[in-house]
Amino acid sequence: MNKFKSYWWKVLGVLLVLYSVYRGTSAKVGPGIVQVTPDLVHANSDFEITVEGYNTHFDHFLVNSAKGNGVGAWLKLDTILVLGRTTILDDNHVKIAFDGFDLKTDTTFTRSATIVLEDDHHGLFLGSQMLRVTVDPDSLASQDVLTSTKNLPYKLDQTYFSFPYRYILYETIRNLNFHVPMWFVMMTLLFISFVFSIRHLNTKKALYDIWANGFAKAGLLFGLMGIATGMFWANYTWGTPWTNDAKLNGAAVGVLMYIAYQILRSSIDDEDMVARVSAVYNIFAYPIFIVLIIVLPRLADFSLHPGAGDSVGFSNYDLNNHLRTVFYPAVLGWIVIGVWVGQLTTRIDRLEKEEEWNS
Amino acid sequence: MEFIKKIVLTVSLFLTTLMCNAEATESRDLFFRSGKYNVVVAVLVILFIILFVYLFRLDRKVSNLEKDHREK
Repeated sequence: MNKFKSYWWKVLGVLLVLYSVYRGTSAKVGPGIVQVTPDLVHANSDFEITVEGYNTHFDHFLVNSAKGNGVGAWLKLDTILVLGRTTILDDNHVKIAFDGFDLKTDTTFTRSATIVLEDDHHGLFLGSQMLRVTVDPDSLASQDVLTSTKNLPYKLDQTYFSFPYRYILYETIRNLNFHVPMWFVMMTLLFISFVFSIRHLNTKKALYDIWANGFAKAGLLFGLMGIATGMFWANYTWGTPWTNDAKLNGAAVGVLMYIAYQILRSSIDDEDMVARVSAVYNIFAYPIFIVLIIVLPRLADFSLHPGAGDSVGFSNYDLNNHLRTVFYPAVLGWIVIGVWVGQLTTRIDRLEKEEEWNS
Repeated sequence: MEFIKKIVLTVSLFLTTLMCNAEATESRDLFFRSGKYNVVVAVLVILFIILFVYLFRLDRKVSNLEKDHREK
């Protein structure tokens, strides 16, 4: 039992990572709207649109529709909601018919509309920027402004655990739990390395230099893991393994900086010199690394990464916080695994050094 | 020598990823099927392969230490 006290945190890390892998691969991705055809409608007379959904299971509601819990559909124009009549075609397709707008306007106007769908299993979900609505001038119409229908959505909640749906990403949104923690681990390990470098310069103890180097190596490992997973993910979502994105280039330079740290260490023969020079290098490298992967991407005009440049963070569409319940344990678990890897590396390096000193 | 090995390992890891990408044209279907779920599987496989390669390197270091220890 006493032994367990010394490695309980490692067990905790393993459990957290296992939980995040299990939850991250098995939980469903929520419903979403992929496409609306046609994408431009004339709304003066009755019109029909076909909505292609993702993970919407419309079929299920075909059976249950007798009980009255079918799929509700609305068209949202600015703040006005117009009720439609749904006909379910198959699992992922629904046809929605709308009455023409009886509206007196002077000029033709075209606006982007949002499709609102709701059922008692998936809750309410939207598809915006997918349909444009044109209304031509009609002097015989009876009303000047459009009014909302009497039957508004119930704003139902989702009844099951799911990750948010994102166009293009689809199921790969799960990778957030596996790719992003790598960078958190890298930052943590390199910070530990940075602290040991400072301590080495203060005390001149060789042991602290071994710790700094071990954690820098482990940090580099997780950086490479982050880059490799990121490249693979990007290839199937952004269409290319490498884009000219501020975050990508920053991360690449950051990783190269720490490869340079290893090269620096192996290029000096004198052991005290290695320790001192690399400690100074490390102390300069860490703040630059943080600027490269966090500060500069935020200042960039454009970025494909969430929370960088002009793009919104994941929190903007993870409204039910389900992603967080997997993401935070994943970050914590991988950080613990990272510290463990760094510690193992250091312990082995230390034995090697002691072996050298003794012989 | 050790250093060259390190560099070769790093480069080969990058090449593995690139090779996966080169195959993509033929296996595009595989990774686009069922909402690109297989991309998630591949990402996890990449993670664990790199982690295991690192573990093997640590293992080799420990073996060397053990050998030195026994020789004394």
